[in-house]
Amino acid sequence: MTAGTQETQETQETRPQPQPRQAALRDLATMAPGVVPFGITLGVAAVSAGAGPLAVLLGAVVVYGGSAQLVALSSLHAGAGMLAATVAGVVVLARVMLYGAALEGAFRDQPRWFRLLAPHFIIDQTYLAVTARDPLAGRDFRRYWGWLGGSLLVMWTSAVAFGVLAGPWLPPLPHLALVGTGLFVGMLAMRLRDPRSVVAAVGAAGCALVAHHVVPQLGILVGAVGGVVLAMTWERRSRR
Amino acid sequence: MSHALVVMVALGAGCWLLRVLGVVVLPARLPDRVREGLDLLGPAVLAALVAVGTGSAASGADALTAGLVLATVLATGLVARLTRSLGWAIGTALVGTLLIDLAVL
Repeated sequence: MTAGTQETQETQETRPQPQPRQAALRDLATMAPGVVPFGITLGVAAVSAGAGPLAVLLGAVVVYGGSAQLVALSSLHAGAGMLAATVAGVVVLARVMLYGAALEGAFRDQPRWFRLLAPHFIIDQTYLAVTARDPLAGRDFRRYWGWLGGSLLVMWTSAVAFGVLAGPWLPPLPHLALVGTGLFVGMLAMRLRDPRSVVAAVGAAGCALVAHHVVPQLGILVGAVGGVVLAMTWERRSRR
Repeated sequence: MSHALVVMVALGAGCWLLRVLGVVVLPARLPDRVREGLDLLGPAVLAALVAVGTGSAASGADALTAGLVLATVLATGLVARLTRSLGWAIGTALVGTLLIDLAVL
């Protein structure tokens, strides 16, 4: 190792970690280009499906899950009853239970109010952002999580509102949600660090495609669980 | 109150319950082996989201559009891998999307 490299490494080791708020806003800036197009798409699609602007905006805040909201509103528009539409949306978002379980360590020693209210911010992007960072605990986690989840919720709701208002004047962009998929592709490409993660990803993609074909609402959940199970099975066999 | 509003409130309550159950109740009941597998959840979820997102974008499209959707996703992955930058990756996806929607369709 050269002196220069050693100095660089020491500088990196002694460099202070960013403050929770800075870290959250940095992650927000990373997520925004993928979240905003999906929010606009949801706003446009939900109004096209016959939902009133108030229901779409209220859903953006209280559901905080675009795919679940869209499935519920589309089901209602297609003639499903209110209970069936609600259940369809809940099934789509069932994966947040797994995210919650994976984040339990960060929530474990938090005050009760935080453990009851802050899980509302658990979505794909916040889960993926927090698990890509060094673990935060206590007050640092609360600040990071509050800033990230709260800011993303404001951004998300604004994007949905823009879609609702500007939808009629926008050119037809039926593939705009592909930009959100681009965000996930980028994050995935950086997380394929070892054979375990590659097996999990390939397995998940295969399971998700098959499940999505059979029961569209369960594609992501079945894919994620299937990928993890396949990777664990592969790992156990390769140890023998 | 419209049906859509009622469904949104009910769905919001259901989703809140799922999230809280995931944080508070589920972990205490998970076997150790399942808990070990949770660190693989990140790549698995991402791959599932990509697969479903790509499949949805390509389904029902003609061969050219489906091919462009797939090419956009592959190019995005390649750019992310080479540049290690989410900004460049999302930019690639945006260019591909605009190309498909404004130039091809």
